[in-house]
Amino acid sequence: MKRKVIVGAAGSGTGFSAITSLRKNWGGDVHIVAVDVNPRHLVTAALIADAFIQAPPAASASFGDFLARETADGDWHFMPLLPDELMSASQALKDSACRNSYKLIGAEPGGALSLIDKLHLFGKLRSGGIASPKTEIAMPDMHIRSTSVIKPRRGFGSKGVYHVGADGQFPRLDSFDDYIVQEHITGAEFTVDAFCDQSGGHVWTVCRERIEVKSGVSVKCRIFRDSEFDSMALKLAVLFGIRGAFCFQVIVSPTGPMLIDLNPRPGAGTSMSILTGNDFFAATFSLAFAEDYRKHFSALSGDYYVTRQYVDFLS
Amino acid sequence: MIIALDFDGTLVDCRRRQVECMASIFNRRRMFFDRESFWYNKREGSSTFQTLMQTGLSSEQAKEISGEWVELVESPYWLGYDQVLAGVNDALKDLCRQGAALFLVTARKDEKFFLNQVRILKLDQYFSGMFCVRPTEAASCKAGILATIAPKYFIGDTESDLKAAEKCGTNFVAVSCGQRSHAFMSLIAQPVFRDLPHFLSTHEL
Repeated sequence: MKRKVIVGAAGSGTGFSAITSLRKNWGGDVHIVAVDVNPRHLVTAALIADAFIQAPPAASASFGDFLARETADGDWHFMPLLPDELMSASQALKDSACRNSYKLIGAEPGGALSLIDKLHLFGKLRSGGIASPKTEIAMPDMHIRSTSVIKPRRGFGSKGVYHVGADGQFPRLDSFDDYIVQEHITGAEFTVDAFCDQSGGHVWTVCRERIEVKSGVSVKCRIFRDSEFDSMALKLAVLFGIRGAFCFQVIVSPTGPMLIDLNPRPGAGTSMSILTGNDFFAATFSLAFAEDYRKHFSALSGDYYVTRQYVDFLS
Repeated sequence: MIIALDFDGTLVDCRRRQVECMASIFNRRRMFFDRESFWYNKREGSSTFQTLMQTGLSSEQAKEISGEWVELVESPYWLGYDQVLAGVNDALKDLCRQGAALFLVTARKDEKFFLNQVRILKLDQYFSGMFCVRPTEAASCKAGILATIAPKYFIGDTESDLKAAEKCGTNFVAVSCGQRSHAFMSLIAQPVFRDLPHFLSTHEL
């Protein structure tokens, strides 16, 4: 039977990487549907997918109905790439209309809330024994230390993150409930691309040091492997019920690595690891299709440097 | 012993790159594209233009689309779709272990992209030299290189590779895992091997 995959946020860099990986590894043996809020002509991945559908915003009530309608014939896989897509798709799976029509790639539906709400996320991390910064909800009368970071509770892609300056001043926040305040940790920062199949007993990580970042996206990276992060990845996957690829950021402080962010999906920079022989996207799809995923990973010897340039497509 | 090898279709599988690049062009034009027929017809000896004509396109459309495809298909994005053929890594490793000096001789528009691709696929470790010639004069340019390095064998997957070997009197080893089918290659070369590992497993070098 032909594999059938819907990829959310197909207009994003991560969506494009996911769809490229599907096409590169499964060719015409997979039916790919790209969905995005943008129209087709603004979504590069629509060129590679078999079909493109302009979707309602993932946060809207109609997104669940949209998924139910598009997957009505069953046996679909859905890869959510935005927090709201994960939340809405998880919720829709609980509805009888959607039950069994698609499988969620990545997180367990029940774990969605704690993954996308950073207040829940960091509370769970600390109670799970994973070193992470002290985190509290922003309050109108709070006294913010000059070494703090303010982040949206449901943020992603480094959007809306403020580092409070030495004067303790921070920007005006529209709604305090929507933000968290974290202690600022100093040290070398790394992104870890991770893959975990708990039932198969396999965990694999590759580290990225961001040498240059433009608009929140890595464009020059040092890629290497440090097997010590495998155990952290396994703990995270167990704690949050993640299957397949995900990524997390750590700062190596004098007391050891502190986890400063966790995304239950590959990130915009994850595709940079593909050139080192580590395709986290392909491994995740292989896991979802119950195929051999180990072939998508290779051991690294030493450092690899990957630089990124734009590619132009006539869409 | 010196052995020269072609790259596309001999060491790497280019089907996905060629087919999916064409599929994306049809997709943008909202036209139906039959992946299987496209690849089948190309393997049976048709040019890209002829293959498109066989799908019922006008010669004007076929010319425009094949031109667009030629522009795109060797760009770094699409080159990323190529994968090393099964058994090739082990076969090259074995040849090196036996003391063979290996040379890559390929026809590509851009030498830098080619060299980068060989490095990404981790095949550069096996070769004593890598040569890239212009696709428009592939046979004669490849023949010139073969004449210089004087290999015992030149292993390739197309009639152009055969022509290059014939021009300089090199033994040609035909494989059918690439651009041309076993049936097509059998008309111009004998014997035809499935792939590089098949040749090595049936021949004493």
